[in-house]
Amino acid sequence: MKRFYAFLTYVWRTLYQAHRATIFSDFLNSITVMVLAGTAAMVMFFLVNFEESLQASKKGISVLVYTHEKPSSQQLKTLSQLPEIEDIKVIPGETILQKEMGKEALRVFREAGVNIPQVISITLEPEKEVSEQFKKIVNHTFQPVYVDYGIEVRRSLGTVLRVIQALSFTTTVLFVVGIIIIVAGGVRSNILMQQQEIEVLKLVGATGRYIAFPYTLKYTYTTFLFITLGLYLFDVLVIGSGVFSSGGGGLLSVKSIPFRFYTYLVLAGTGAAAVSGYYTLRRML
Amino acid sequence: MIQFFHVFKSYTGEDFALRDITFEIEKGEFVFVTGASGAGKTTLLKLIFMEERPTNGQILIAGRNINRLRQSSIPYLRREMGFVFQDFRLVDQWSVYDNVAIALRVAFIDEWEVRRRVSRVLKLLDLDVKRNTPVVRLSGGEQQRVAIARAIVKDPLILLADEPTGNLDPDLSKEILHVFEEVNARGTTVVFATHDLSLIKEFPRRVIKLHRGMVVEK
Ligand SMILES: Nc1ncnc2c1ncn2[C@@H]1O[C@H](COP(=O)(O)OP(=O)(O)O)[C@@H](O)[C@H]1O
Ligand SMILES: [Mg+2]
Repeated sequence: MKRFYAFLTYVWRTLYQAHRATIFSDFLNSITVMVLAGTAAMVMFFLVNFEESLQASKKGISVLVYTHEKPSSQQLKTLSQLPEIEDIKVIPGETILQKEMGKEALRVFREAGVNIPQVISITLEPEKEVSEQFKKIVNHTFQPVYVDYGIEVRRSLGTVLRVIQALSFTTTVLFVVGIIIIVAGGVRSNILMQQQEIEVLKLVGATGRYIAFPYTLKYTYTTFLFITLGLYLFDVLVIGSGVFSSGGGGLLSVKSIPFRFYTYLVLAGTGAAAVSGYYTLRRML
Repeated sequence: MIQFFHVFKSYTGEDFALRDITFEIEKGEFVFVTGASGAGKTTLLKLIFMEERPTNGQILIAGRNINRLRQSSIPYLRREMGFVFQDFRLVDQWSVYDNVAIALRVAFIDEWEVRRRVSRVLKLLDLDVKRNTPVVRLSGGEQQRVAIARAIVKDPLILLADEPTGNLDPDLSKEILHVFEEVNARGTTVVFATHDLSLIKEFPRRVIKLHRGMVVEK
């Protein structure tokens, strides 16, 4: 029990020294960590918003069936019993033509006696694909002129989303690698500066762990502090100031980063600092 | 307590700092190691402290063969030993108190006990008034006493002292020798390296005499 208290005293003394040292030494490293965290948050911020706008457009594929026959309500009911169907609307061809090409075009088409097909717009549930049964029903019951399955759009969307996920992952990895390099370098220069102290500790019988612990703690603590500070500043200065939400050219409904992203960054960075610090120390001592 | 069997030590691989050293020091003994400068006194103490490894031969400390000791158990053995280095090896920026206390803190002795023991040795060595002074601001003699305080504060099994009176005037040297005797009287084995023969005359004890790396008297 007494040893445990002695250990607590040791931890406390170490943290106290670390707290004072944080402000005066390693100033450059601390600033770098802060900027790194801010940059990572910035990249995440753009990715989150990009993904958000893509997700919005991904909400269920619309299949457009062009046909001259007016579908009966019995036919529409058969189709709507398929599990992937969310909504079915029948839109007169004129409405679409007018919307897409204007009143004038509609008049020209009418005068030329063109038989304008109507459109059955079928919205699928989100994430659902077009099934074979769906195709069969569509082809047999409606005698379509043309069917637009919207699949091409969906495919490329999936790829883009995957690219975005890969980019967020890469950002996190780069952030972690950055922290590892900064901490390893900081520990190295710190050890060179404190060689006398480390020498003495070894001579009075300190274990490698005893010597490594304060430095690891100091770096873990400092990194934690400055990542948090960097993210806080980003949140206040970049998101809080509203530069992106007002008049931000198209990005009208800007999402700020979900809080869990901040947590990931803090945890990943602090963990990286602890591991990097301890590993570098044990290798050097 | 300390046994050397045909120990050789060479730093360069050519000439030997110590050659064919064999001796035994019993538990609780007080032994002087003498010899001219360069005779190998410091090297002998460093071998006992495991700061250097022997090139050849066997060394037994408290029954353990240190050639077979794993690197990771050296710290634990060192906690049983006090070493007063010729060049002190203190942390300049730390206070007198912290420099002495670290010897106990590395073994996780609780802070209350640390305060009690450090205060005692600081009084014993007349360093009480300087306890909060950083050691850089002390004289050579004072630093030497801090080094001694750090070595004896943990009541070590073995106390190794490398010319610990080198920077002290004769009167103070005698006082310090009394401190070592006191520590010895409490059961610590003392190995005291010095080239000051007048000290040995005043405190007749067993002498191991070195000459160019060889034992000429033991
Ligand atoms: N680190 C070292 N590298 C090379 N030679 C050394 C080293 N330390 C001591 N020596 C040599 O070993 C011999 C013994 O030195 P030392 O043990 O310091 O003697 P003493 O302490 O009796 O003056 C000397 O010749 C010295 O030059
Ligand atoms: Mg010497």
